[in-house]
Amino acid sequence: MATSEERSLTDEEMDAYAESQLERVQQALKLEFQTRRGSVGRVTEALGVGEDYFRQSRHKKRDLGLKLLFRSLAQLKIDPLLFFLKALGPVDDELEKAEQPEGPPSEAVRRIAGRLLDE
Amino acid sequence: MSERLTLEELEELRHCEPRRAAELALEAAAGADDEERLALLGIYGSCQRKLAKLDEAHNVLSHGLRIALRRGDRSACGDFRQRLGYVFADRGELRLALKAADRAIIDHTLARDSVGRAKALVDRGFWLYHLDRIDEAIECQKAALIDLPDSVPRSKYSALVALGHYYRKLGDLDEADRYAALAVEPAEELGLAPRGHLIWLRAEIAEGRGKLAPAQSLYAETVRIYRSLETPLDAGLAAVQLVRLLYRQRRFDEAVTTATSIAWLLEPLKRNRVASATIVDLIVKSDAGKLTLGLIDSAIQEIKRARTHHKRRVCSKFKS
Repeated sequence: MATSEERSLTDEEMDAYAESQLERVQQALKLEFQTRRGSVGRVTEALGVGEDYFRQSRHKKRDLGLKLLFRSLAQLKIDPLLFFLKALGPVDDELEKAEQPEGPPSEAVRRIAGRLLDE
Repeated sequence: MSERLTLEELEELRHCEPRRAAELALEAAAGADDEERLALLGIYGSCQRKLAKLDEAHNVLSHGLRIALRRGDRSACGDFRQRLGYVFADRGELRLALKAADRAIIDHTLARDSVGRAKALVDRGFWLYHLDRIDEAIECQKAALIDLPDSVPRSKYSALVALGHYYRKLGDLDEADRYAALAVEPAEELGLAPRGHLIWLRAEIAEGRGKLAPAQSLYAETVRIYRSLETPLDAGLAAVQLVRLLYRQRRFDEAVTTATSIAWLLEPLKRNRVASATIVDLIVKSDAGKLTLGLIDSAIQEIKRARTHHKRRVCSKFKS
């Protein structure tokens, strides 16, 4: 994101930025739901919203309300600070580093991947 | 692609014959299209990991991930991240393995690949369990089972056996038994090793429930299976568990006979000094009439330690 020393963002850029961050929050929440069986039903029931609330949020028909998000995290017993750090923090450098090749493609990689390496 | 095997068959072959599967993957690349080449890289990389060639496995899988990222193939990214997770785990980096599984879940979700996501959830459950987060591991495996169809028996089996194992650890033997029973069907479609794991789990559950006669025959069957699979540490552990079962029933003569009958393990275990010394000690003391429960329990712990150390380098108990 551009800083104030550089230039102001256009409305379109701000919208795009906001949407990309919202998407990250929604993905993070979805991940938490997926790893807890039956949690969507449990949380939506406790919060008094329809079961499709989070699905609609994901498809951008409706922005995810902050209050409902925090209430959801409380229901799931997730620390909001940790949740937002995980959701909006920088891409995990440790994993990113570990995923990097430690050397040039081996002979087997060259043989199997072939032209895919040169794309 | 190989004229003989589909990608799915090659993937299955790598679990029991990784060297052969790696050779076939190399051969198959010659006539493969781009998508197949990417899949073959994943299979080949996992074969190298299974063969304990972790640096080569990392090289193959990380370059595969790089290609998948460049092609925007989210599902393939998730697949490579899952496979890399096992390399991280074998290197003792369980937290990284968990992060890789988390990223894989997101990849598969974005690709709308529910089966891929469920498979990644199974992996996430493994790493959570190994990080002593057993409650979360249970929830994770249950979440995975919702989306795992019968057409992926290995993942289904893995999640069910893992749940059986977790519940047994927690002392809930009814639930452990229930999941072990559910794992029988998918296990029938797999090789001897998964069936051996399941029989072993059922032996432990039966012992926990005080059903000693079935536990005895299940342990004996486990030993037979692992002997035929040439995995001496597993065979040794199950054999000493059988000795303990007999001893606890005060069937001392049978316990001694069983303990002294495992001398065959010494040759295949000759490179594993801790395990072979433990077995020698058990045999010698049994012969001398000095077999005790303390000695048996200590032997079990020593073999478990040797086994964990070995598996950290080579493979994990339920899936690879």
